[in-house]
Amino acid sequence: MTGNGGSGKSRAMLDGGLAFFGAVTASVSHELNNVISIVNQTAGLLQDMIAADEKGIPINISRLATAVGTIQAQTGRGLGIIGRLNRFAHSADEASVEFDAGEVLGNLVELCRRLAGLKYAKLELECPAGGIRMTGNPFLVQAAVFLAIRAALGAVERDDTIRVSAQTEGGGVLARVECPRRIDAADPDMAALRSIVEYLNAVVDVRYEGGSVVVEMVFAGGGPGRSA
Amino acid sequence: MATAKVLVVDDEAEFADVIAERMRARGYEVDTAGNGTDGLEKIKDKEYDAVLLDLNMPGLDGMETMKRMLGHDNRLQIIILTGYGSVQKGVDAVKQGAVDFLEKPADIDALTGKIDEAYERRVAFFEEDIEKKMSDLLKRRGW
Repeated sequence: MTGNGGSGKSRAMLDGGLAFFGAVTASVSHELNNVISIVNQTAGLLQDMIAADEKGIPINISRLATAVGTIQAQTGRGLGIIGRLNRFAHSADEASVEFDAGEVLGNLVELCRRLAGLKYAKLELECPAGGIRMTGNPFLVQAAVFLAIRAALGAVERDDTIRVSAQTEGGGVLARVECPRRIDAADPDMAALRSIVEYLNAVVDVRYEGGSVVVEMVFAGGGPGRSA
Repeated sequence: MATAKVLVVDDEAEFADVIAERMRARGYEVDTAGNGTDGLEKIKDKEYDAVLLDLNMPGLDGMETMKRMLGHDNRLQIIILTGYGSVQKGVDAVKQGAVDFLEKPADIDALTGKIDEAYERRVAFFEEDIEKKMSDLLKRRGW
């Protein structure tokens, strides 16, 4: 991995990356558990209906159809979650690789929706339709953006919207997280974010605009074939 | 035979609904709430013999909801639903006032077994209350 020297900075970067990994996998495992629980109980309901039918209570076909639909819908939901988890996992395959930052951040935003939902907040993503090619460390780029999102989630109130956007800028990739509330400057996620940004030789700027905060990160390596 | 009244508090509506349906088929009277705030309102309006409470919910999480529910009725029988592999969270909840916990997906027979135990405890509390009131009444009458 490239990055600034100093074991302290590397340690802080590692801690930030691990916190990102732990938070995402914990959230995904909880959501998958809910999917499995719904499928399990719905299958149990079908067993109940069969048992009742054997005792002379006819199966309600409409209810049966609804239950089957629930199992199918939850299976689709589970597959979606697993797909996102798989893409997240593979983003750590290589420390420097060409990738679509829009696609990676899109997957990250989807992974964060449940966390946002716990705060009754919304997440919006804005990226160019054609994608944003860059060369760099997709896992750590996501980690930095995730930490900004999580810091924002610590500040938001019900029905607030956190806006995530990305675009090419000056040979790099600018990722922006806008939060309608003030993020505590001492938030440990912001410190971890700075460690990762520094490790990646990127730049971060935090602007307080009235009651809101804009976190902008510029990662080198924008455009296909460029080195980070 | 009296029917146990149960409140299921879980933000996964499909889970709460199917659990409720299966319990109603087994003779329980079941209501559902999609979050801790709604759950709190429901226990203020109606007496429940047991509350099934998910730990991980938007807004008020399960632990905070449980604390507030117990603040309203410290004999409320709260059974926590934790994620699979989250035994420690269940244990922590019991230390803070829950009567029991189950890991999701939660076997229906294990669930109703715990509800029946909670119902019996609730009945025992009421019987104690009645005995005490009767005893006080008799003492006041000099008997």
